[in-house]
Amino acid sequence: MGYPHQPHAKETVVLSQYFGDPEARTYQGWVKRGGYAALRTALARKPAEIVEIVKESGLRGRGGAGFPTGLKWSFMPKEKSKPHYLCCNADESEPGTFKDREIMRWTPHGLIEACAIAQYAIQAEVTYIYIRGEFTEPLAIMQRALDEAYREGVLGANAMGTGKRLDMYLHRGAGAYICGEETALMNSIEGRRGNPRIRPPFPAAVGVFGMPTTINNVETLAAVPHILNRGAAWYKSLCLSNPKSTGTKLFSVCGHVRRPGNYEVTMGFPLKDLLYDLCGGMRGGRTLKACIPGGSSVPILNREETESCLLDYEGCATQGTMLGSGGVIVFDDSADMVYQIMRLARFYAHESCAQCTQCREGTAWVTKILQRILAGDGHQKDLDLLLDLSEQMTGKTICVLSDSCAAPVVSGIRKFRQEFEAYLTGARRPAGAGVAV
Amino acid sequence: MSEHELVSLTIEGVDVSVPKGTLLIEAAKQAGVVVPHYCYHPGLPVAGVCRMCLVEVEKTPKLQIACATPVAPGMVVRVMSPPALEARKGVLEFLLINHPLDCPICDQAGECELQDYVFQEGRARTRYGSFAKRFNPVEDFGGDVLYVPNRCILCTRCVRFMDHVADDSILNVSERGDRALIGIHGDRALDHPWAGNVVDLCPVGSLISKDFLHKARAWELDRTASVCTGCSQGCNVTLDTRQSAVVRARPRPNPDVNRYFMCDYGRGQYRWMNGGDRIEAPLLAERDGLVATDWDHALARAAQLIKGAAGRTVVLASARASTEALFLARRLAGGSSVTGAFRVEYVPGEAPLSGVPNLALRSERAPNATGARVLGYTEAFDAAVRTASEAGLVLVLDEPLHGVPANTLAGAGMVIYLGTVLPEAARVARVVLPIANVAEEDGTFVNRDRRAQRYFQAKATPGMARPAWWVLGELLAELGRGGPFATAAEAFDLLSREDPSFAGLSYATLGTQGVGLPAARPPVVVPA
Amino acid sequence: MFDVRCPMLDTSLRDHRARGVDTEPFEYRTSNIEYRISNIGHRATIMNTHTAPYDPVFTGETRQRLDRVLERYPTKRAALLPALWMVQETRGWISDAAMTEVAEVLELTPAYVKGVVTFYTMYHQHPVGKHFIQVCTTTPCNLCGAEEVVRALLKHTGCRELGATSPDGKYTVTEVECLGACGFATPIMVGEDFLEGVTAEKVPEVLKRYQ
Ligand SMILES: Cc1cc2nc3c(=O)[nH]c(=O)nc-3n(C[C@H](O)[C@H](O)[C@H](O)COP(=O)(O)O)c2cc1C
Ligand code: SF4
Ligand code: SF4
Ligand code: FES
Ligand code: FES
Repeated sequence: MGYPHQPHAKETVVLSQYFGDPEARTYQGWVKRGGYAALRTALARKPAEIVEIVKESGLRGRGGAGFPTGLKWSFMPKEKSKPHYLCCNADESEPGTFKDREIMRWTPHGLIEACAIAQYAIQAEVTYIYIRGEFTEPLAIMQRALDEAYREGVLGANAMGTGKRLDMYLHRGAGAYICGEETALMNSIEGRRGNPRIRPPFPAAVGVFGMPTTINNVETLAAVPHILNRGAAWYKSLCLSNPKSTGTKLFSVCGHVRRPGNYEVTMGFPLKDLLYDLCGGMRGGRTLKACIPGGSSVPILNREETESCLLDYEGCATQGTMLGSGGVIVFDDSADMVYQIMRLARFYAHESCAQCTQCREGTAWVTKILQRILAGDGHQKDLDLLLDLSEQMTGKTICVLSDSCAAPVVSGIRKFRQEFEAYLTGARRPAGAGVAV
Repeated sequence: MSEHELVSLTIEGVDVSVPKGTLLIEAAKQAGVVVPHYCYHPGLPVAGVCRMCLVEVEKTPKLQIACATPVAPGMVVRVMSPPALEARKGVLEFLLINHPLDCPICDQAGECELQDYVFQEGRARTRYGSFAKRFNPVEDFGGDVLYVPNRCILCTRCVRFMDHVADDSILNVSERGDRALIGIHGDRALDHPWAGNVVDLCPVGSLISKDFLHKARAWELDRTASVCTGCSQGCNVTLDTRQSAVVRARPRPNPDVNRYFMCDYGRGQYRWMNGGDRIEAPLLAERDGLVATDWDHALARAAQLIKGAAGRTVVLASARASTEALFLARRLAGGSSVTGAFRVEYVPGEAPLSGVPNLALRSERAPNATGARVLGYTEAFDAAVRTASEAGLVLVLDEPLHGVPANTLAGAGMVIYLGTVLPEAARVARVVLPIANVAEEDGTFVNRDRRAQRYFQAKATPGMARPAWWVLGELLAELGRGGPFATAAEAFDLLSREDPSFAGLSYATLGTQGVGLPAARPPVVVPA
Repeated sequence: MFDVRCPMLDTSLRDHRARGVDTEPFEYRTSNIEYRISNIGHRATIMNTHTAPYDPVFTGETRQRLDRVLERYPTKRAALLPALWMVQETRGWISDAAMTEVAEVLELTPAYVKGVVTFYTMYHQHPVGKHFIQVCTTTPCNLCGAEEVVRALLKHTGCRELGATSPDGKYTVTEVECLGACGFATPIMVGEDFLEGVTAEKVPEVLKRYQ
């Protein structure tokens, strides 16, 4: 549901059904709503069967990369020779994204159930749910729900009375965007700096504590109980465009729309409808200028591209961008693109883990150049320099944070060059939508 | 999978076969290509952070880092292709934007990998413009190490060394983004016995030695392969000399002895090699004391004394003397019965470098005690000194005679003293022959694991001093027992012919990294 | 009606009238919880601790909590982030001495701990004002006037600049990157409290709650 709004007729409400319903937060309330049935079914089956169902459903990762979830699970060793782990990625720090937070705030038991199923499917004894440090409320709600789940025998030594052991713990982050990257997340759980690791080895072989590990996003996992309850075919049928993108997706819409919030729609839903119908269009009758559809790390779309973009992995790719995490950032015609792109670059400069040269130095340098342009001190050749640095920062580092910084810069310059030029020629005076504090 | 399974691939057009699992950066060396790199160091765990070693691998869309990519059969690797060069040029530019470019006052200049690669592959001009550079003050890390953060490229070699090799995590990477720098916990100094290695590991001038600070410019230095004299481990070192003074010692890689490292105690050894109190001319005992002479006279007098000597010969030798000298000194005693003795300082407790097996600053603080033992010398030094008074001939080989009362040797028949300095107790000698120290001659030491290792002459001898092997060779020749030798190699050849422990060895077989002695004898039990 | 949603306080909530809301405040503590929702700011102003002899954190009940946390992980190191949270919870910030204590307890070195502390921006390496206020100013919030909120906060708290503590020692205002609530711009954190929909106009009202 379009929390915090009334559900819109065009939404397909699956994950968000109980958003805003405080009773669903409790164990009793969750069971009353059919909760934990999927877990019970799952525990009665073989792990490999669950992996098959998830494969069959076409579910793909909602954390950013869109990797097929069932396939990812199937990479875990079949013959268990050492402990396996599941990590639930609730670090949600990608600017524009705030969906996992609502899942945790409103359906904590749904997430616990989902994690338990996945944990069983990949034969892990422990799940760590890594929650970003700033999410104090989701953290408390999840902890309360976990306590209940242990008390009610859902988790623990005799999970759901099956004699199987399932343990689940919360791990609180402490302020680092990069810990959302899966290998950084594992380092952070291990009590290290949140540095991404070089791959190979991949987590399914050498993950957290050196053991086979699967990492999934909150929303990815949250879909699993629904798939088990209603069948892979049902999930697969939720598709408005490309058959490779199935199911529903929560889109977090923010920025200059009238009704920001989370909206759950079927894959392939037109971005235009999301913005104009569900979100009520631009605020104050302004017009749309630009949109970042997948969280701040993906290329920016201009108005035409936005209005023809279909919201699934392929639809976004067609427009030269990515579905990413589904964080939709909307800019109306009042937005100063140069300033906002600088603000994004500054975000990445702040969050770079400092390992890779290009990222550590490049994110900061790019930010400085953008600030210089904004201050009216830019040179004509700055734009070429920005593009060249972005090229150097793309595809050459351990993780894609560096690429993520380059993406809005490159697409911004390409699509809103006149705004940069205006600063360079002096046509536009320093101070834009926001003024540096 | 066999350990020796070979993988064939092509690097820069050169076909190579390397063991499975080899990293591209190592395989490239076999193809004669050094892939530019900063964070990679063969003695440390791979970090893959500097992104300098990017190379093109055919059929792989992205450039790959050579330091973390294992070889695969049929791989085609291009190190110097335009995309790879462009990427490395990019890294170099990023590394330089905040760099102070203070090469004229930097100790690393001339041996700085940043300077080298920028020169080779970098961009002629920076595009950073007028932005202020990051600035952090120089920090004294304690021990011998200063940290100049402005030059740091955050390769993390130093941190990885302390974490994984020294097993003493006292350095860290602090902060993140472009604020990151190397930190040390306030209460600790970089005083681990092996901490000085971080200075060598640092590819730039960010970690520098206080001892070496502003002493010399890298291009003024001559470098000579040597062996550390600090203890019986026998770490391979390079002696850097400038105007006939040794100004520092640094580890020389040897996978079997010290890998890439040496301890701080060993680093300090170079100082005594520059001592100024040297004997510079042969001396003969005349009525009014020791009088300088030339080699011909001195050698003739010494030979005459030896020929005339009757009874026991006592050789008091230093465990810092070369194997050649130790051997020749015994041989000089000829048919007569010989007592050979040496003594060593033992400092209780070893200081191991935990990440490297069988590497420690040993409690036996001399480089050639094992060599002396192999050649029949014993540690019954005091007893030998006592017998000296009844001996027909006492030959002292650079033994400093500390604690030996000045009159002890006075009762001895004849004392011939070969040494670098002249202690009081040696003034009773009939002949004093000035010899070279370890930095001034070629020779070999035998380390505690019975590995014979060569060291090379790094600087000139003072005055008329000559290597001990030469001096002893001349004397042997006078006596018709071998010699003379034009080179240390000839002296060693005689040793290998005469002593079965050294059978089959030569300077050529020892090379620069040494080999184990053929017949192993039971290990010597070192007194506590 | 107070129009800022702050679920940790018994505030009424902006958009929840239609949907029914959980307005019950809770301080959460059971055997299994180690993460307590509280405003650390209330206990956080500990200045001049440098001269006082160090008072260990991990004694008694806190030590027991840590022992329970340790059971969750196969290594001691993994308890580092939770242990640092405990320190910050009790002391308001993480001093060098506290890092040394954590290092001892978890068999790490102080330098290692410091490397980790400085990586994560939520750990305070210095004492902060009684109320540590973080305002998100990243692009999505920035579009919605976050910088005006910052200016209003600086003005009404008397903090001279970002990162500085107000003369009365009550407030420290800082910018923070995306708080993961971009649709509810502008979110701010006051200590461990998470407030949404803050605007420049609402700032005086918000500050009244944090005296
Ligand atoms: C810099 C960076 C930040 C990321 N942040 C998050 C995040 O906050 N949450 C998340 O679920 N995935 C994040 N990811 C993606 C994860 O690395 C990983 O792909 C994902 O958690 C896998 O789960 P999924 O397959 O269910 O999507 C991030 C990736 C990168 C490179
Ligand atoms: S790309 Fe940036 S964030 Fe990612 S590992 Fe490298 S330095 Fe760290
Ligand atoms: S000080 Fe030297 S070795 Fe250490 S990280 Fe910096 S450049 Fe690398
Ligand atoms: S040498 Fe390969 S990444 Fe640094
Ligand atoms: S940008 Fe402010 S919460 Fe995300």
